[in-house]
Amino acid sequence: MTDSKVIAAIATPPGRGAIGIVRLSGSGVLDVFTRIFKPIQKWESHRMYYGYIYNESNEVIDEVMACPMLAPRSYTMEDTVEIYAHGGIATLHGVLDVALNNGARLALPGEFTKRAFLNGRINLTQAEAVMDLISAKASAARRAGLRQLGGGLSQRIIKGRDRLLGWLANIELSIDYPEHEEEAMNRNAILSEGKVWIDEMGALLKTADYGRVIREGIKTVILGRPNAGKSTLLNAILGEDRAIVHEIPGTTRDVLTEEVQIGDIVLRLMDTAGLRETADPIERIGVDKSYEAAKDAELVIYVMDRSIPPAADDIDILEKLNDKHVIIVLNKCDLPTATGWDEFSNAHQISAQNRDGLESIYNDIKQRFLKGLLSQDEETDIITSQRHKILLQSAINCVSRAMEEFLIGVEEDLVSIGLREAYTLLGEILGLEVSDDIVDRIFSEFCVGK
Amino acid sequence: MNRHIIVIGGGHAGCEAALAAARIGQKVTLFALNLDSLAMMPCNPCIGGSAKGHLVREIDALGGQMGKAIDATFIQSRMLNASKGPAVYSLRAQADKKQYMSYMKQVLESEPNISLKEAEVIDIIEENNGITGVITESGSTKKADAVIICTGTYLNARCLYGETINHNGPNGQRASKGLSIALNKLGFTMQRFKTGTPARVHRRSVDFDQMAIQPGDPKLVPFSFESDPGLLAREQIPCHLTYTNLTTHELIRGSLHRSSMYSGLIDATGTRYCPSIEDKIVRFADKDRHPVFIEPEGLDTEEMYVQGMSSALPYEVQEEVYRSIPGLNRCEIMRPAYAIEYDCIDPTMLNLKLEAKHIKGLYFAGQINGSSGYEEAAAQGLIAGVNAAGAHLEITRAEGYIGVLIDDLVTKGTNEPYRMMTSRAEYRLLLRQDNADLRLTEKGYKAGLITEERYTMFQEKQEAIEKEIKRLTKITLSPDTVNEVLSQKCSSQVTTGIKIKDLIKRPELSYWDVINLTPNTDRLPIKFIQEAVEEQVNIQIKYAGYISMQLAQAEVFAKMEYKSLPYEIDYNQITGLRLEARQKLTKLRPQNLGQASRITGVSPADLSILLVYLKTCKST
Repeated sequence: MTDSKVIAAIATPPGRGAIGIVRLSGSGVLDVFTRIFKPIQKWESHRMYYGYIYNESNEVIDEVMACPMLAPRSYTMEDTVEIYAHGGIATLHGVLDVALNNGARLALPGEFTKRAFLNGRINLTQAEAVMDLISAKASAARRAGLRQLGGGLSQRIIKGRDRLLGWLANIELSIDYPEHEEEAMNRNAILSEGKVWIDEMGALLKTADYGRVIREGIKTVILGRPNAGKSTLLNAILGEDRAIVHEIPGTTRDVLTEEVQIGDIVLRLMDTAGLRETADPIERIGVDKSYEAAKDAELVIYVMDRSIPPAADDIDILEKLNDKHVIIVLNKCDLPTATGWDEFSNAHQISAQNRDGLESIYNDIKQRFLKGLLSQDEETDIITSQRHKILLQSAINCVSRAMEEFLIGVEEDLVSIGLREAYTLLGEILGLEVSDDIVDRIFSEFCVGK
Repeated sequence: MNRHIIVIGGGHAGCEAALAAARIGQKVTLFALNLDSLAMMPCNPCIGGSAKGHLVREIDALGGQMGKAIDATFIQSRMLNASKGPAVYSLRAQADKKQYMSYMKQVLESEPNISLKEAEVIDIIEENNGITGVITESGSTKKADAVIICTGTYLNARCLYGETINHNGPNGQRASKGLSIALNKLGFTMQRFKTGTPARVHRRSVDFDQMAIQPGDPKLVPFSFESDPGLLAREQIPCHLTYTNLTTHELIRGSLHRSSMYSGLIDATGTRYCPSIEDKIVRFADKDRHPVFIEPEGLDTEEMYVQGMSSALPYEVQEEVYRSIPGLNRCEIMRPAYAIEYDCIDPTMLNLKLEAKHIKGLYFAGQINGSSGYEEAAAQGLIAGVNAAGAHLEITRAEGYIGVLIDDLVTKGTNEPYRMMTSRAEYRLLLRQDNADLRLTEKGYKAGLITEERYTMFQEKQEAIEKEIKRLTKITLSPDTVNEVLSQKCSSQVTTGIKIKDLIKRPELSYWDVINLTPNTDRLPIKFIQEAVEEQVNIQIKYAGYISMQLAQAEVFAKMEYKSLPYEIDYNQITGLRLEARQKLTKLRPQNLGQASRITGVSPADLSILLVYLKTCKST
């Protein structure tokens, strides 16, 4: 039997929000709520009530708004109450504790969503999208997650899968009714449709890169010779946007990564620990060392001092980095320019000191990483899940191979094997093919609260 | 422990059921309404075709009779789909209907364990959810340990065309009346299905010059493992192909209201898989022609079967419609086309042995289970016969089309006559018609259906295949050895040594092109068995890549089959399941998740909920 005991958790991320939500769900949730919320004791579903949360000693924990949502019209399709309390960690935990002391138990990771799924409210793909939504780092990712939840991505996959089914039906028909030559499979039609299919699905697959960028952020390093102004630029970037997410120790020792959100994009500034220590005048940056630092980066911001002439080292390093996104920044533009910078007229001219010209750097980054996607953002469906990306890639490979087989005249029954495989793979993205592994994976990755 | 088995009905299901039970060593009584109609083909005069040919091969691998019967009596044989891949080659043979029937009657008559009786069975005696015997029309009781019901399309049958209604079975045979009521009393849910047959026309009235000729294949391929193709040679009779046209379609549309199917006389469910010409015109209104095949009914008759023109229009309209078709303009209709309605059971009340879930010892096979087709019937008959005789035999979906057929019927049920199709099999590259014997002979032998002599021959074949593949795996050929053959076959030259297996895999090459480049090897003494070995080696090497891909897919599939669903699950407690899924699962109680996934009304979402539910059960 499915467990329907009252569960509770803080539904908003830990942080400095003005409001935080404690969510309770399960049968008997109103009993719990009645014990802790005063003064109102009679509720209608989906209405907001104003009151106080009291603990067992009748002390006020917080002044809150609360909204009961009765089954089945709630996220879990169970009776649910959301309590909107003040956002501080202490307050939220206070409210949660009271709930836990009055009959609720702490929700397991992903349990709300699991219940929503088990009660038939959402399908597996949507459940997975919730997971993306929770772990989304930036606003664009959040929007992409929402769209996936609503089925925007599904629609495109469904269309692609239907097309596969059409070809398969064509092949099956010709096999099962061999006497009817009228129904023979049309190799050429499938071939030309196949080409379009591969292009369309390929375009969808490309959005996965965008999806990853907005989910995980862009790995960025700031490079330049000593005194070019790297740390000043770093501080300018970090300082300008107050939304520094957090500092996390990097995967390798000595690497410190800081994240900063710029509009829809998160930059993951790598090796910033090193940068901050560049006050050391003896530090020399060599070509190899720069390249080493840029090895894992997707974006290199290369800083040079415009008030002195270009150095040979810089040119060498830039040449070596030509397989990366490199944004060339000429710093110290508040000082008179030295000679020899003419060929860098396309570089960004800034003054990190005065926080001048940063906007043009940001625009450049957006141009590079969001490409055309930004403008048509609302209509574009984005693959944000790594699992979906892999499945889609495999499906495209299957179809490409099938089309090659068609071209060289492989028998259609054999070609249909690859097409069926692709059909199954797309079905897995949609949650129409169910396997144990998928279920396991998805439910092991949920976070608390949602 | 001698058992007595009663088989009711002597069609294709009944014949195989009786023979299988008798060959295992049990006593069988076969009741038929008319002993002259054993193994009758009341509709098309052919055996095999896509997927159906596979079934015949599987029946043969399990020691059944159908393959041998058609090998003995065919008048034309063709291998269809030869360009579409080895798994879907489909053997189809035109039968001489009368010869087929008398061949089968003789086989039944010469089987010492079978008694043939002409009588109608009108009731079944059940005690304590088990079977004790049957009652015939004369009121006498016959005791039995198991009863197999193979009544085909005879239960409460009605034949209709236009406003004409005849209360009889196919071909003017008497219908069976009492049994349907008896089954209803025993708690079976009855359904009413409809099928039909086209008119038969006189050969002299057909102008074959206006049609395309369809001759038989010069190279004959038998259905049975035991048939020597060298001994099959005979003169083949061609079929002919013509097409309907817009005039035909206009005539039909104009008289649609007079067809028994559209006038309201019939409300039984017809099949989409072989629709009447009225249905084709209505459902595919945009098509301006449909193919029509003229097929001989036998050597000693002038009757011709008009495939594709099944109908329930009034006689005079049929004549007009048929005569609008090129080559049939002056056709003489000897027997009109008609639709037939009959009672059948809901097959989801059966288990995989085709035994009723709620009455032990009561088996069902053939069209009574909602299937259509001679081959589908024969396959079920064989399985029901073996199990009724007490030798356990179940075929899984991974083992054969017979497994797919029976699992589909008992798991999904059917709301129209069920036709076998290759697309119903998940992994058909593994279920080829050429390897039916390799897949099933062992099972047939264990069940007692295969003679020692045949089994020895089979083992020799199997060993020879393995040996030859092993031998070829080790052989690498030098450029000097192969390049001449390669250039003859327009295949690209090689500069270094190449494995002979890789050569066989090239689309333009086959085993026979390169085998002479290798040292001589042992050959089996029987020529056609040696040929079968070579065919097998060629296919297994040539398609090894695809075969292993399907094997991998089949493994994933098997995972779900092994996840068993405890019998005591209360599906109504799993609130996430949609209502329909809860009801279906409660009613059918599938044995595992794989079976559950095939139940109509159980969606992938329901399935994922079951999966998570099973996990939750385990963890608490």
